Amino acid sequence: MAKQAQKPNRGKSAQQPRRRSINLWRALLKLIFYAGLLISIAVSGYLIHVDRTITETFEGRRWSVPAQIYAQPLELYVGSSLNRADLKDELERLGYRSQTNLIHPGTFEEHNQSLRIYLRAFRFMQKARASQRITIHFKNNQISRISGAQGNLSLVRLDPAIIGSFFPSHGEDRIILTPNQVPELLSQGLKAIEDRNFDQHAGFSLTGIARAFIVNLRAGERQQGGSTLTQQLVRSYFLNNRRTIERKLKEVAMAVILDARFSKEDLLTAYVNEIFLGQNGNRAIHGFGLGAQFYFNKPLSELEIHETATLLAIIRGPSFYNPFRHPKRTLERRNRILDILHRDQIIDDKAIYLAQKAKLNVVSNHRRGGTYYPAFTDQVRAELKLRFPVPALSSEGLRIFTTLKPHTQENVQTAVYQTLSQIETRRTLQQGKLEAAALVADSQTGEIHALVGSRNGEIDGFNRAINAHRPVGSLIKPVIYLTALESGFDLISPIEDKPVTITPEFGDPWTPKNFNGKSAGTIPLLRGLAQSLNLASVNLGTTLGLPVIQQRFENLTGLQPDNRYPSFMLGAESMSPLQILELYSNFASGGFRTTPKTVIAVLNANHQPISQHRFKLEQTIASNHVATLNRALEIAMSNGTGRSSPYAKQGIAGKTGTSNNNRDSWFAGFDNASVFVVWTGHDDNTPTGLTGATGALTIWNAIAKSEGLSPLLPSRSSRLVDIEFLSGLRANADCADVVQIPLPAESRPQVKPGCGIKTRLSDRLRRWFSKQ
Amino acid sequence: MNEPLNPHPTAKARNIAMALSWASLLTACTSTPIKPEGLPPAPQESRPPASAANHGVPKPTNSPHSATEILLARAQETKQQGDVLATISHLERAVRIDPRNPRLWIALSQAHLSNRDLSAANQYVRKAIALSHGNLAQSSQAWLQLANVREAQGKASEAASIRAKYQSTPG
Repeated sequence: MAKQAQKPNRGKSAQQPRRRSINLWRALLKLIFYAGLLISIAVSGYLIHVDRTITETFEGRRWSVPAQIYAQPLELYVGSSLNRADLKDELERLGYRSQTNLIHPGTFEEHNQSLRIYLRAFRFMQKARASQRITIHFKNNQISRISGAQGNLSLVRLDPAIIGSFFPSHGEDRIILTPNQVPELLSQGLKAIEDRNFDQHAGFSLTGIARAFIVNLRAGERQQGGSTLTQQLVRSYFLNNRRTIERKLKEVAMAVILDARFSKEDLLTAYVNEIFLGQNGNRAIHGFGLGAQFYFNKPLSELEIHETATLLAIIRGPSFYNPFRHPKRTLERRNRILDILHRDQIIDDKAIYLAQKAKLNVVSNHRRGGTYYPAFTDQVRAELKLRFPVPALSSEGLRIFTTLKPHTQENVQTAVYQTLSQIETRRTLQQGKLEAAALVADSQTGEIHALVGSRNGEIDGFNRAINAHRPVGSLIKPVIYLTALESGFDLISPIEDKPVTITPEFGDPWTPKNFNGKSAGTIPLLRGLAQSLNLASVNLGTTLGLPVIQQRFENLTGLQPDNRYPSFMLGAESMSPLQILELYSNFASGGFRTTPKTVIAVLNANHQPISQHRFKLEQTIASNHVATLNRALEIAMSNGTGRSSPYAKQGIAGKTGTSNNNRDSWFAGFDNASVFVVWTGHDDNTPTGLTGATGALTIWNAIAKSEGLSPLLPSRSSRLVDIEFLSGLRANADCADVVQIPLPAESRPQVKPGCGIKTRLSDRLRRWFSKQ
Repeated sequence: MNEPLNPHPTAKARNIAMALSWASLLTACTSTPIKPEGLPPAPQESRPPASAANHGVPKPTNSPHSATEILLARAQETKQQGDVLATISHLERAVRIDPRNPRLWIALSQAHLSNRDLSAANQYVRKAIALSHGNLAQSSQAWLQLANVREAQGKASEAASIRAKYQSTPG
């Protein structure tokens, strides 16, 4: 029994470990099974989550087309003042290149008295214009004839420059292309250089990794990456650039999902639109559409083989292969890429021969068309925000037509930059500290042609043209003098430039002073404005009443004054340059408050106008009063505070302004076509030592030099009288420094003795009686 | 500024008056009072619309104003087609080329009047009046357009007195 009992016992003891181990195995298998199940569920859940996320993001991004912003197109018409050199300059700005036989759109050919142009196709606001060849003939610095294939034309316009876009992600800019806008050379080249198995693999390629490894080993450098285009796209869309196993696995998973979800064509187009190609300040250049504009100043469709190859070279490292900073290195890589394209029979023998010989031809920063104008675009955004929700601006493929004139913008920006440097050098000021803002607008429509918000044109978070509110100094004075003219004064009415102390109901007494510390006594009203005499202006303003003047200010600007004290009359009131532009538009336009604007119209993706921004104007000043005031502002330039300008006597009206302790230097003025505002000062509000005349006016001089002027037309007043500027007495050029001014019929200026001017008996009698 | 809309009964009569004034405007000379026998032909009136590939007209005119004439003619075409937004767009383009031309501002006022934007119609015609100072014919055209605006604003008697004063003026 015992034996028997032992046997099974022995058997049991032998079986027990086996059974235990079987149980153990079973448990382990179970564990593995359940763990596997759990992991599978988790992985599936994760994949479903990833799938949903990336699909949504991809779809969202694919269909999210940023708004494109266009400058104003240059109008060419018979009789327009444009010479051949100017037009050539404009064409080059738009990336048109000189070619002898005009094979492609975007080219021009020079002749003695004419320019032949192969215009690009463009869909304007009103309708589409197909590409076409035209010839512009010149005579006496004007366009004398425009001919096209079907005969003579009277009006034609260049395609407008693209000046930016609104994209949701901060700083990312791009021009979105559709699949059929991606050139064959680019798609083939991308596959040849970046991903040879693109059409076959499932988003991830082991052979690709192996091939890249061998190629790189042979070359001794990293010539090829192992990542597929899809993986690169995933990295750009969803991941950071940290090289960890976890991120790599994620990348592969996402690439496989994307590849399963979308067609190869969709993926390639997304890649073409997405890839990072360079940095311009804080603007990131994404996609080949913008890349072509950024590096070559022309549409992708117009790139030559060597230029496409350069873009393909840049992909690998936009900083390392920056063609501006490292041209030699970039050229070498471009040529290696051309070799690959040739080896793969994408380009033929002749093409590679020509392409290898070509220079890089990247367009320098300064002359680059399609330049980004962030300060102007800021104002576009501000105007559109009133009508559109922000997401619509960045995702619905809107096309925004604006009023910007690129050549004016560049002239103004250059004038600002160069003049500030000259001022700092001449006055031994700290280099680079002066800041500035400048605006140029059409005087009749209010359309802004140039808007400069900083010294160098870069966006730095603060747009002084729109957001810097600074005391305006004497720029306010025309409001006082306009109120006086409307209250029965004329330009020779005597006013008192004498010391004055004003004691307000609350606060300290205020004793203003003239700039030179002297007082001129009794003077004609004209001189008070032209010489910007503080005491005369305050005395005149006090006579009229501050509330009346402030009411007028409100009518002219739509603004409520912040300062309700008499110091308002000397410009202790903070305004932005844009607000000053609106104030002076009342005068420049001939009596209409003309709201400055930058947007002409917005079209949706189907080319339908969804908003038209009409000229906004409202008559604020009677024509006789505005004509008189404008003549006084013209004399302020020719004989007053603006006389240091070389253009002072060329039919310009304007006013200088200086705030307390020379903290702000202003100039606002207009000619027959445009209204201008310039401000300069320090951001920290420390004094600059500059007056309106020595600071802002000198910047305007530089603008006038490059832009040219359109002199004001002579006054159409029915009664123009010559008077001596200083005294307001009737005189002539033989006996005095005279200016011609409009006077109302009832105004009878006294005659300056010794000028040989005969006075009428009635005037002599009136004077005699008034003395009695 | 909110301006009252005109009640309907006079709308048809006003439209006819506007169409007539539009036609007369298009034939008016830009700088001098017009003699009836000296009317230039209305540009483009009988031509088909310019094709997409051709911005201009076949016959050249060496006048510096030919560009605005073409745009006025295009504006008329689109107006006849009932596309007032395109009309405004053509006219604004013309104003950008020649911003001090009162004829363009009158036409712009007419376009906005037909679009029932009385505020814009009023301001643009005031602009035209200011710019036509010293040119009797253009000034009369501008004032007559102001009468149309006044009528649309429901100020019939003011409109009538303006017409009485300016309808006899040549132009």
